[in-house]
Amino acid sequence: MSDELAEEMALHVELRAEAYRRSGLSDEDAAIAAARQFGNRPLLQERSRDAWGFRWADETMADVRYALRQLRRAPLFAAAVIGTLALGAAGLAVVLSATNTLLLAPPAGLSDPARLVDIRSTIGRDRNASVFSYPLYRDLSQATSNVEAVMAFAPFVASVRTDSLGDQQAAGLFVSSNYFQGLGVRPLVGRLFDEAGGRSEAPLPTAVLEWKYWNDRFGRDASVLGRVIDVNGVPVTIIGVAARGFTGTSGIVHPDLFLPLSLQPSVGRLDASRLDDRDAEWLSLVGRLRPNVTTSSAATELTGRAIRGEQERDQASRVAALRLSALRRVPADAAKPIAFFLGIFLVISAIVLCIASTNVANLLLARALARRREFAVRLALGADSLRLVRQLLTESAILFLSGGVAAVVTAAVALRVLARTYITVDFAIPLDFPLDSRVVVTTLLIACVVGSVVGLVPALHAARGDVASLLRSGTRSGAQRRRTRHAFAIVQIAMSVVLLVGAGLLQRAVEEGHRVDPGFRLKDVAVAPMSLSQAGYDDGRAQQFQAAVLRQLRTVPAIADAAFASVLPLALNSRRLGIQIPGHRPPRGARSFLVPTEVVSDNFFDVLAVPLVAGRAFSPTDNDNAPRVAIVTAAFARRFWSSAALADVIGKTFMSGPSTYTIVGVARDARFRSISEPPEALLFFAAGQQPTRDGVLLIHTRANAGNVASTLEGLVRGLDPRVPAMVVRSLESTATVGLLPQIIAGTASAVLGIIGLVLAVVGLYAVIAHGVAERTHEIGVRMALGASAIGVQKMVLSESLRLVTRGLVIGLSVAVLSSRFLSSLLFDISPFDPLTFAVVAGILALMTIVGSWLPARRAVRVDPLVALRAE
Amino acid sequence: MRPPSRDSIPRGTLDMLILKTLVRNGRSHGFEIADHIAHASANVLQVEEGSLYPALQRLLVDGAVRGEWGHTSENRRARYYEISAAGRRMLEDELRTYHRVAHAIALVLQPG
Repeated sequence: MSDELAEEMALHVELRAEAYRRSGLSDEDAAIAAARQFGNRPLLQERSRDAWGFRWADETMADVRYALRQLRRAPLFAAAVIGTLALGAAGLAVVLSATNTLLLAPPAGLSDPARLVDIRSTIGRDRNASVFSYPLYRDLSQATSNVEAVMAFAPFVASVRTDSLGDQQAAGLFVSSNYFQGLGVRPLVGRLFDEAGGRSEAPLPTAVLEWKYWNDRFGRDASVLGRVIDVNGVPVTIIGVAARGFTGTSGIVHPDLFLPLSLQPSVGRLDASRLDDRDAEWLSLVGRLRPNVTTSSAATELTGRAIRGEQERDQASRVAALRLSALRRVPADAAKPIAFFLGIFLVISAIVLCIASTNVANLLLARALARRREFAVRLALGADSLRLVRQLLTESAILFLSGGVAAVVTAAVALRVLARTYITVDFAIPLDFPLDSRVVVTTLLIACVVGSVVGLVPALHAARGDVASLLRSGTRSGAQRRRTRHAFAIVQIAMSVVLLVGAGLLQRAVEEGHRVDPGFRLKDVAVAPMSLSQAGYDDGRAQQFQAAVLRQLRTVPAIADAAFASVLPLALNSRRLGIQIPGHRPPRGARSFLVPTEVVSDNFFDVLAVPLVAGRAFSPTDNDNAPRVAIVTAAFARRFWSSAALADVIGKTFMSGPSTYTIVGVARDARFRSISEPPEALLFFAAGQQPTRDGVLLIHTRANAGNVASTLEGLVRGLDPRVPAMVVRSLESTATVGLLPQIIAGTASAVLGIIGLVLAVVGLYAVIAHGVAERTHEIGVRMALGASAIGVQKMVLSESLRLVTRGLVIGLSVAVLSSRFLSSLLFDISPFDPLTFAVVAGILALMTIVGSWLPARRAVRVDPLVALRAE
Repeated sequence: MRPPSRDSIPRGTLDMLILKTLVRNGRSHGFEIADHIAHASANVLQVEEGSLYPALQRLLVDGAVRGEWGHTSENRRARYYEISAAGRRMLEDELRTYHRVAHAIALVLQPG
């Protein structure tokens, strides 16, 4: 293109010169005249190119080429910058990816997810608003002008037995027959449930496997189709495997296998079918809207339908309004705590990125300083200073973009590792947050923005100074630069102090959590889930079996006592039941109070050492023939009879279903549900009156009773070999589950805090080392005048100490102001915990020594003669 | 001999002159166009000849002319320009505007 223009112009000038020669000019004169008549050839060429709008692109390309050349010449510098950024931004990318997966993106593997909505209802404040009864689902499931389909699902715990693999715990999901069709999920192998079964949810004992489960447990064997497996004691036939990447719609737990809703009565570990029960609210709903339908018009239509349906069954309407929101991995009602967590991580990782960027700014500044002669010469030769700034910005943009790419790669690796990590509560919850294009683009964008901001400082520094002062390397601008670098170091130190205080407080919270008194015995209690519904027991036989196991356990010398409970303490789990209390009006819209309940055997309170503050414990005589009795916690008594003395609560009654219960005891408050939550109002029923087939054995062992597991195993096998094998854990380890939020936050913030600390130490080192290098001459003079080595070391150390002290003061002030945001996770630890603050200050002192030791030693080794001669 | 003195060409009219030249002479290379403008105006309108080339590039970008490499009668490589249909329309528009303005100026300047 430019060659063509040059050739064209050369021809023109030649032809003109020939014409002049013909008219009698000498060769030389003709050439000069022709050139003069043509004008400024390079300028004209450039203007010709401008016609094509290439100027900008040309200059940018030149800038990029120049920057790449410069960076190739300083590979160490480039590597340091890119490495620092990779470390600094990778954390942010990981957190962004988690946020995206959990809160912003729809669950994976759905077709046209924009038209899928999460359906919830707003009822009285006491009601769990995200679940619906089956009869209500049937009302909503008919297609309308706005809604194409409504799908229902409900998670359950599955114990899967196969011939080859034996018993295994798995996450099951009951789904409506239109579930896969409505979500647009295709089978990978075989077929999925379809509506051929009709709206009747005909009880076909079939199952569909999730891809990963199929891969892990069945080795991707296509011959599983038609195989019969045993799910909670019910034989079901595998009919297909869902497409890879589809991991259900039930929050963060990925289901392993899908069963039709119709199997709920037999497979669900519940005492009765929930399909006809209008009070049993257990289904989550997802709707698919027709194209171009707004959520509000669909919500209006569905609300009308729900109210009509409820009125037909009931006089009063129980549904106030339905709310639709975009379908996300974490349902809207659970999003808040997760958003809070991710918010903390987002802030932490942003701080780490800031520290990293400050290091890079330092590196860029040092480099600009080293190149100031180059800039001065170029400015003196007439380079446009704006052009110079642009060039330096291009250089930092390239650096930051490469850093961003490196960060994305680092994050991808970290996420790969994380995806193999599971949090095990009842199921293994994978921490799988795959990167998507949105996260990658956001990370690169952030890297670029940070790059141009950070790159601007040294660029302006370089371009501002007039040529003369730059060439003279004036002392004034030197001092200014030193101030900038010192400010960088102080900010870095302050930020790492904030990080360390946060991480330290969370670590303390984890420790404290282990020390918190739950209000019941934790030590020497073994727990073993026992599921009799799986072994084909009915309620009556289950009751007898449980009693027999307890009786035999108590005869074992190593075991002090044993009890049975329907719910494992501290497992964030409780069964809610609606009750009516005479003289108490339920919350608006509800027919009853929904309270957490637990069914326990008579010596439950002895085993857990929970004293009764009024009344009596359950006794063996509280059986089916005796009047129905209940025990409440003190919190329960306070909630409903706040004015009465605890002793007066004894004898009060309430109704649940057809029965009336009398309160016979009040138990002291304890943190039954979770170690980190305050004791809640809880209701206990007697196992003798409320048969439960599934629950957990609580065994109080005597000191160092080693092999409770094998004792229990042998004992249960002796009674009935069909009862599934039991996993025995200590109650203490179960308590750890309640600390999961603190443990996750503590680990993540510790990892990020260490990265931040390392980066800050490197930053401090760079500043001090640079200061020493700059003052080589001064140090030489001092030593020539008789300053001692120790004196020089002191000087360097005191400079570093000054920086650290200022950073520490600023950082601690910010930490004091911000740490109370963590207070919800901290139990009784003060956000101003003196121990944490002292330890952080100690770490900072150590950091000062690490960051300034090497530069101080180098300062001492300055040879006065060499230093003085260098000038 | 000194090159003759030049009157500079009013801005924007260069395109018009180039297009008119191409209509009258057909396919021409840059030097021929410059030469023709100079001769046809009796050497009054003599461009800083190089400025022809940015103008030609603009016309190429606008699609008013087509450029094609060929050889001169003396067998030297040169880029030949040719007016396109769009170029003819552009010329007509500009001529109309020019005539209107010239007429208006003439009216203002006429004595009386």
